[in-house]
Amino acid sequence: MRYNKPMKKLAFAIAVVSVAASICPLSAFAISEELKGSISTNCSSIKFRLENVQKDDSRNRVHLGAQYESIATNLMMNLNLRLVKNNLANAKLAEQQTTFISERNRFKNDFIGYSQELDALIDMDCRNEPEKFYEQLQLVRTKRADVEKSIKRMDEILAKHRESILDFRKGLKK
Amino acid sequence: MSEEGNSGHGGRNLIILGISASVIAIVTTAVSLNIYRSTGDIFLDRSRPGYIFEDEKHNEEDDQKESFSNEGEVTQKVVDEYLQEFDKINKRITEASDDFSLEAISDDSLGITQDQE
Repeated sequence: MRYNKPMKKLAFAIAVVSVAASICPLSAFAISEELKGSISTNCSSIKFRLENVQKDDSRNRVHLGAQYESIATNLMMNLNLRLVKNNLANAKLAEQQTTFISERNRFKNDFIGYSQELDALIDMDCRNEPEKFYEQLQLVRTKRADVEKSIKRMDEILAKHRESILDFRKGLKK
Repeated sequence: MSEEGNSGHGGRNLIILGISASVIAIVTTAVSLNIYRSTGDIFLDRSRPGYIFEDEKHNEEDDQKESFSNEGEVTQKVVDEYLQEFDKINKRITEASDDFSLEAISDDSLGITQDQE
C-alpha cells in the first residue's frame, strides 16, 4: 500500500509521455544538413525541373492512355465480339479483356494520386521548409513507383494476351 | 410619389440582381474548378498553355489508326491481321514503358546533391 502513490505517479508520467509522443513525434522525417542546404539553395531549379517532369508526365499519360484505349476498344473488344458472333467465344481472351480494362482503370487512378502529390510538392516552400519538401518528395516517388508498376502489369497482360492469341490461332482453319 | 418609390426599388433590385449573379457565378466557377482538380482532369488537360506542341498533335492523329472489325469470319489470316494491328500499338506501349521511371525525380536528376562545398 505504501508504494501505491509513487507507482501511480510513475504510471501517470508514462501515460503523459506516451500521449505526448503520439501527438507530436520528435522527428517524423530527418534529413542531413547538407541535404537541407542543397534543397534550399537549389529550390528554384528543383521546382523548374519538377514542372518539366509534370508536363512530360501529362503528355506521356495521354499518349499511353490513348494506346490502352485503342487496344481495349478497337482490338480486344472487337475480337471478342467477332468470336462470339462466330460461336468461337474464348473465356481466356474475354477474361484478359476484363483484366486489362480493370488494370487500365487502376493506372488512371494511380496517375491521379501521383499527380496530386506532385502538384502539392511543386506548391511547397522548399527554400524555407526543405525537410517537409523532401518528405513529400519521398511520397511522390512512392506514388510514381505505383504508376510504373501498373504499366508493367499492363505490359504483362498484353504479353499473355499475345500468347493466348497465338494458341487460339492454332485451332483455326487457314 | 408612388412612381418615384418604384423607380428607387427598381435601381436597388437591379444592384441586388447584379451582385447575386456575380456571387452565383463565382461560387459555381469555384465548385467547377474544385471538381476539375479533385477528379484529376487537370493533370490530363494539355490544352493548358505550354502543355502541347504542334508536332505532338500530328503524332496523336497517327496513334488512332489501328482497328479491327467485329464482323466477319475468324480464320488464321484474320488473326494474323489482328496481331499485326496489336503489335503496332504494343510497340508504342513498350517504347513508353519507362516514361514513369523513378530516374526522372531522383536526387541527381533534380539537382539535389549532398556533397556541397
